[in-house]
Amino acid sequence: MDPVSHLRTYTLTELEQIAANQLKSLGDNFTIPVDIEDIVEQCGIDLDIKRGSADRGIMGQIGTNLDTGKFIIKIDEKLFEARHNQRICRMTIAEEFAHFLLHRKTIENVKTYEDVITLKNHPHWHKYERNAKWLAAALLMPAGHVLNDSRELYKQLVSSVGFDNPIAVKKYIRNLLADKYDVSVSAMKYRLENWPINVMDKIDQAMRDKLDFLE
Amino acid sequence: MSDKNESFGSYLKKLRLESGFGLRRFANLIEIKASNLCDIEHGRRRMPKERLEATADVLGLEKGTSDWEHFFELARTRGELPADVQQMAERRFMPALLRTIDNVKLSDDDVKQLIEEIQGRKIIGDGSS
Repeated sequence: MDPVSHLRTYTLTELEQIAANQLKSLGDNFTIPVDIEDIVEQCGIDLDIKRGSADRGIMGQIGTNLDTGKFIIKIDEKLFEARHNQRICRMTIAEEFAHFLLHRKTIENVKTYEDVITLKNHPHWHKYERNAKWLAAALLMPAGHVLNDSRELYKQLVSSVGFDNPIAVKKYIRNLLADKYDVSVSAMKYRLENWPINVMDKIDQAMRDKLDFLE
Repeated sequence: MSDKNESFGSYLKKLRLESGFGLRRFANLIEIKASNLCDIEHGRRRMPKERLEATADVLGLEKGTSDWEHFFELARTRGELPADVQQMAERRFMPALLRTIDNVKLSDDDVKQLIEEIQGRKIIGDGSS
């Protein structure tokens, strides 16, 4: 079967919903930071390491065992082990897992080298990749939790430092949340600045109006 | 019920997941590197003898039970898969999607070479689309 025939793009609302459903299914096992490795394994995906793949520029890969059909995510060993790389490693695993959630049928129908090349050179591949990146961010930084935490932090901060320096307040909130969710500062910044959270605009507005809460 | 073809690694992984431990957390608890635990579970490496008892403890295996016996029996006899069995399993992996550092684009030749290496065979034709 042609693997490309299963490809489709998702709206941002759909991606947020997929992430929310996936995290909801964890029930009591839901934690912050999200334990993405545990989620991957609980979905029956084999999480493995690959030695030396970063030397050829590859951080992660997802595929199947051609005999058993089992899904496998392989992460470069150095990326997997290095403490300073943990946030990149988590995002890499989340992005591979996002592809599993979005393009499972496609991945399981990749059987030959030609299929891999067809997929890699697909004219709309960048759109599918963007979808996977968005879903990965929504899994690691769940919108509702991030927004609630932002509100809490904002309230605490302005009660002690006032309303004079919105840049510092935003930077402080961004950095604290990046630590809490164990993601890079740039990933958290992007998440905070965009739908469905848009908290940076809310902070600007609230500080202009000297409000000690965020809408 | 135990499977007679089961390896130590797959049994260990099954017990770990049933006990609700993630790979990294479990590796920390039994004081080995996460990548080494990954190797052990995939039959590429033996569990160090001195870590076996502690591992059984963390998994809640009680001394003298059939699970305890099975765990140590597998560690002794099927701790590491034979190289050809390992290689066969590795060669059946088909990487559908490859994530590169800084989103560097791989050429078709790079991908071809990578799959040839994984599968241990030459791919006929250039496969260009």
